[in-house]
Amino acid sequence: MRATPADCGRFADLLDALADEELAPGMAAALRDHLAACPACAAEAAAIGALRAELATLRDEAAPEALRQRLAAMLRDDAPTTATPDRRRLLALTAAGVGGIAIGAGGFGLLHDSRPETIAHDLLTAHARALLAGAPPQIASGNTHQVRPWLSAHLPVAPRVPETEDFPLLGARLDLIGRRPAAAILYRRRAHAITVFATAEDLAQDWPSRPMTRNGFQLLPWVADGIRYVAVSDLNPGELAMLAERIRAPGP
Amino acid sequence: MAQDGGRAAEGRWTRLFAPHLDAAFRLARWLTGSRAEAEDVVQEACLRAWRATGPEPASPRAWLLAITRNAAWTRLSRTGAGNVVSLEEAARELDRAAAALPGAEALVAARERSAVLRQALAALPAPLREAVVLRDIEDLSYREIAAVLDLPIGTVMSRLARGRRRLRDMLAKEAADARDAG
Repeated sequence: MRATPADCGRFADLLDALADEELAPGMAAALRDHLAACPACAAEAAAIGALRAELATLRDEAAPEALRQRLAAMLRDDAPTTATPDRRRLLALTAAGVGGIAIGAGGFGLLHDSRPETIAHDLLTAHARALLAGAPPQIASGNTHQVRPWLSAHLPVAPRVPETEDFPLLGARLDLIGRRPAAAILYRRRAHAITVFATAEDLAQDWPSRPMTRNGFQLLPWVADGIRYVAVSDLNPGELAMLAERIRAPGP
Repeated sequence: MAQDGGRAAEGRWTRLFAPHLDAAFRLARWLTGSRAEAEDVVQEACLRAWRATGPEPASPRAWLLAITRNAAWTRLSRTGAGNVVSLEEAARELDRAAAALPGAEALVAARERSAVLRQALAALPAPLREAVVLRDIEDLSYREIAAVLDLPIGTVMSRLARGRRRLRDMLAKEAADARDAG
């Protein structure tokens, strides 16, 4: 399918909703087809994804412990009373949460509420989109001692990022996988791009745990030191396993 | 009887809202720009949640965030403050966070990047900022955001798109300035 400028205009406004998984399936599929044919829109989609992943790192901020304790003490002393002035609005919200009413969604039949897409799908899409966009990694470096600290500054884990002779390290970025930020570490083998995704094991319950093949891509998962890794590439399974071994047990 | 009512309310609080205290605090901080203000706002919002009766909300998180947001804007309109994040405070927070991490050049770069992101988000006009915070930090669905902000979903969509666009422009400009300076 060839992309035309008219398509770009039509789809540009929907890239954010696609990233948010809020498009109806048919519309999302049409938009993905367009992205596959249009590097400019694919780059735009990748940039939105990268920003979302960065913003997600701001989720770590917690409420101060002092506030928690003050609230606990305050709430113990406060007996519940009857309806508050906010009551009506709260009830409206309750109804909205149930999903029974369409909140001014007129004209947005393209919105869709079902969000779960499998993690495997997220991993493949993240890998493929970055390839297509050809954007440089957020940290472009072949040096373990630059890439690893960069990742640990953004994430609660510090995945292994060894330099290997056979698989040059290109750098890393953050990606949203299963709606949480994860490390995406980039390696190369001849002309094949490889993305090794990593996150804390306890956050990766839904991640693939067995090797699989999807759309010609291999997904190779493993766990080491409390970190879940999944390597994604169109490289053959044997060579991909070699990289996994190098990362698991870096050379002498 | 009052005792039983108190216990029931406490149970309801613990079950429904206590898990979302961090989210409420973050939203309040991004709206008021100050940790101290945010603590007051969250305290007020929690008191209201605690006193509320009636059916349980389907999304307790969206519900708590909605009263937190209202408490924040009420407070800001009273004090006439807001929309300004103290950069000093942001820098202090960042130093605190960084002190816990090992040192390296790349780490400094990551810290700077994170600081730039925080500043850019803080500089975003409030209507765009609250949409971006609710979606990209608190991970609410469009439908939940529409309920919290009391807006049509279409408006939520366009605010999100505009907010992210502005953030990206600010970050790109910052990166270009850094390159020129270096």
